[in-house]
Amino acid sequence: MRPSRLLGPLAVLAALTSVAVAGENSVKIGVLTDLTSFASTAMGPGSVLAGQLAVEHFGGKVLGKPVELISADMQSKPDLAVQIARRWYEAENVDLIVDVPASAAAISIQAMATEKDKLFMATVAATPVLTLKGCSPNAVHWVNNTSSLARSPVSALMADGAKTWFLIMPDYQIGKDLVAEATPFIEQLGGKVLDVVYFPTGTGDFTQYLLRAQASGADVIGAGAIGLDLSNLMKQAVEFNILPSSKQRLAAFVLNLSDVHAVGLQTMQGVYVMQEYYWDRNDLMRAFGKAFFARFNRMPNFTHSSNYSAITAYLKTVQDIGTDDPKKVVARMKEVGAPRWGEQVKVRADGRVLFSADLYRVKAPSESKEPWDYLKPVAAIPIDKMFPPADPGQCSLVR
Amino acid sequence: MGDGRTKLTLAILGIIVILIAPHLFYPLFLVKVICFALFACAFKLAMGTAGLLSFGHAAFFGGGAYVAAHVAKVWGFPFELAVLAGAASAALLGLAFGVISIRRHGIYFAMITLALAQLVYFVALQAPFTHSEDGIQGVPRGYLFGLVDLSGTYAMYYTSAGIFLIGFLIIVRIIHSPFGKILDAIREDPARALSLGYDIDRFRLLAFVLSAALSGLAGATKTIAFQFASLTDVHWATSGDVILMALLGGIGTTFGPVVGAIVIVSLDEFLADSGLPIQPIIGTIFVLCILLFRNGVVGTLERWLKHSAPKQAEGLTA
Amino acid sequence: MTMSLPVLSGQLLVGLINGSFYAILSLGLSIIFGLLGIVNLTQGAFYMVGAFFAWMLLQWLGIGYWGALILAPLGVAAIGVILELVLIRRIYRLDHSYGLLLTFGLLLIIQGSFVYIFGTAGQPYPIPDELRGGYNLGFMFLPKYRVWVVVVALGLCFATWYSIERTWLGRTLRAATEKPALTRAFGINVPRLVTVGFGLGVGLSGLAGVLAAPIYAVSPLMGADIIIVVFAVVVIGGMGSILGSIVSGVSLGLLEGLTKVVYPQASSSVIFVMMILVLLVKPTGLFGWEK
Repeated sequence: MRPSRLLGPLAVLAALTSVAVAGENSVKIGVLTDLTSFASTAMGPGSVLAGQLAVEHFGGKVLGKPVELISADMQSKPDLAVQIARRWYEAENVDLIVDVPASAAAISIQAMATEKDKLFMATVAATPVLTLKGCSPNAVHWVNNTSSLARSPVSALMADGAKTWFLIMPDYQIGKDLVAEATPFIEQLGGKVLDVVYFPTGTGDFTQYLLRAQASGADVIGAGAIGLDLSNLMKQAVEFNILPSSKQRLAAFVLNLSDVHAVGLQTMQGVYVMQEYYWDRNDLMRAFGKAFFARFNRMPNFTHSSNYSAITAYLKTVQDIGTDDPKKVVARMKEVGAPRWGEQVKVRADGRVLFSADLYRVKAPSESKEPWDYLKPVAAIPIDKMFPPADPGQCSLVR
Repeated sequence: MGDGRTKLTLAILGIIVILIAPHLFYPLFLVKVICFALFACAFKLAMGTAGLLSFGHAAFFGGGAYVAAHVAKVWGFPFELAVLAGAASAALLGLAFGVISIRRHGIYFAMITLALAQLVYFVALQAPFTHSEDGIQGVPRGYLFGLVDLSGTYAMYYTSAGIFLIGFLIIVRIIHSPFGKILDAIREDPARALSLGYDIDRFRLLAFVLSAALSGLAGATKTIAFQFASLTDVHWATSGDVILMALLGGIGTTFGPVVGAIVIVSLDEFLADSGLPIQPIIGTIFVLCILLFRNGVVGTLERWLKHSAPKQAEGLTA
Repeated sequence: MTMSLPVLSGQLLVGLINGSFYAILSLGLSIIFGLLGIVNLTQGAFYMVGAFFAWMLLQWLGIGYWGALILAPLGVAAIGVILELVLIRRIYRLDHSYGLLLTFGLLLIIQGSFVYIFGTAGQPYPIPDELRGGYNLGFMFLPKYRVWVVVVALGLCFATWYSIERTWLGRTLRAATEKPALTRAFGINVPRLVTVGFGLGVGLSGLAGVLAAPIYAVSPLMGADIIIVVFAVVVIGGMGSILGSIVSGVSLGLLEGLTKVVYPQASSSVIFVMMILVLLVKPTGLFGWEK
């Protein structure tokens, strides 16, 4: 964790002097996350720990230089994030920034990375803009975006016979993006979206939307609710006998393991969700999960693991090409791919990292053998079903 | 309200600080401080001078921010016009708010402004041009008067400082003008002011609109400096923040809101690396302020320095 | 958008159920706001603390729902009383705006601390066994627990209204806030009464929190969004009128329910429109009176 907390403010004070440190004595990685506010459980201290583990497991050094990891709290305020990122890039020699839970901040910081010739790896933000209008030769989109989040449950469930969908989405850009991505994909696969309902975020009561979903008779209720909203939605779905149901399934588009832990298997059982990382999926993921658990007492979310794998890939690539020049690192990843959980995954020209994932179903309490044994894999989702093709009209990096 | 010479000394000191600060502190952080300082001073005009406790000032700050961002990015307005557009749209919004709510007083007025600001937030959420939580990105800084390239950090900083000084001077002028004196009177004893023949609603409305315009100016400047506008700018937490800043510094004083802004923005920045829970800390400071330093940091300082009979900031609102 | 009558009935019924919940929440605020003249923004935070106390009682002491219904509100009331004695009391003689601001600061402290300690994800809390299951109404399944909440809501509302409007305690409370000096002259300990009133108002929110724990995720954020709605309810109903809060709470639940049918995105905002309209036309609220 952090050394003495008193050093923090003093260090920042010293750091605020814009006397730039001459030369590169170390490789500096900044985890810019929400430590104390709304996104702190999904990201937060777990993200920082994941970063620390990545550095430790890599050996703490690259190209003979020490790797330094710092973190800061953006408190869910995008302009605070942008301010800190700018300071990091301009005055504190930070080479790589990861995390950044707010999409507004992520888009801004990615542009800043281009401007300052630094590196940004989007490890938690899901906005598709990062590989469209906002694409950059100084960044890769490491984590799922709304395209893959929308497509994965759709392709897997429709392959399993589901045809009709009822979508309950947050009245936020991410909700609109999910709908925009899912709807044509559903229709392309021969299905139909019966209705879409947008709810204001922070809603406590989803009962009315759930009743409508039930009345519609749709095969799948697609819920874009995130975090607390999803917890409430599930609680009420169970309370009103809408789920579990033999006729309807619920697919969550965005779900963190910590959400399942918070609500409990009794309520969440049966929910379908794609996870790009699950601690029990394979040996490498299990090793990270156990190491994370040993220090944090919780299993990592896919967001945490995303930071881990991204930083690991970064360090490995830097080692590989003998330089930490951001454009060269990104070019290298686009050229030969990036190491990710034991595989070499392709990185597209627009910065989109391509990987396959699994569709999981949340276990019933009786099926869970140990703490955090929450998910059961039900289907593999191939890469071509996860990501749509790159869009040269929106991103000039795509030829 | 203070010795003239002291004020002049302070002002000169202030200008020196503004000139050398970017060499000591990170400039973009200072720009944020400046913009919020202007916002807090604008708020003081409404609450401290006219006695209008508004819980929805973020609507003007954020509204100005969104408009400035949009006209700069999509319509290609040069910097000074974008910023003015932000201020003007905030003024219009302030007029709308004011016309609806000015007849109400005290808590009722605060509630209406809160409700109206929530509606503005809703509009910001739904309107296509704001892009919801993605925000308006890539706002160009452009050139000041077609001459000064604002993409440089120092240029942007000094321009913001200039805007702040202009706004601040306008506020100071208003406070010390006959108009300002009448506002004081209306705040402290509305019935009396009414009996003296003043159309108190008209005066308060004007003060409110001016406050809104300057808040929009602050928001517009901040947005262009940071090059994006987001929902946070119109969120009620931002309304709460500016109230905090103004009260912490001293709502009855001229420099108080500036000090309050410096403290709050600095806390966010300095504590960011510490992992400490910032919201409870700010809340505690606020509570202590209300209980012990009701005149705020600057107000309390002023009283200690003068040792005169307390000029309490008692009747906040009519 | 077509909707059959049965589905619509279900929608409106849910709206009514939520409305009764708003009514309970606004009771506490109404007492403190209407009677004591304090704009208590911490009301939402105490609602959240009540839910957390219920969870803590279960998690750490094994005390279930029924015990929590009594203990949690008492705990919350105790905290409220302490706050009143130590902090809030000091600002009574000042402008009412200070009360608003002080409680705003307290809200930041309470909510921020809980977020810091517990994170935002929420804690599980089950529906008590006795209240599981429900009734099949044909057009929807009505959970027993929701019926229970409505019953409790109606009971509490009636009890509160009766004790404030009809009993000695209520009359004395009203007298104490409207004419404190006179009331004191009658030998009534006014400050103590105000403290009791504050504790009562806060305790009611805590009780609402316990009622909410089985159906809404127990999270530090659960108070933040609901406080504004509750304020709107009290403002619309009328400061100082318990009956007003009850009626407007239920009505607003219905209005919100209807909005969720035709334009869900606006369901959080429609309440503000109502609030503005009422504040313009009759600032003292539908049932309120000028103090």
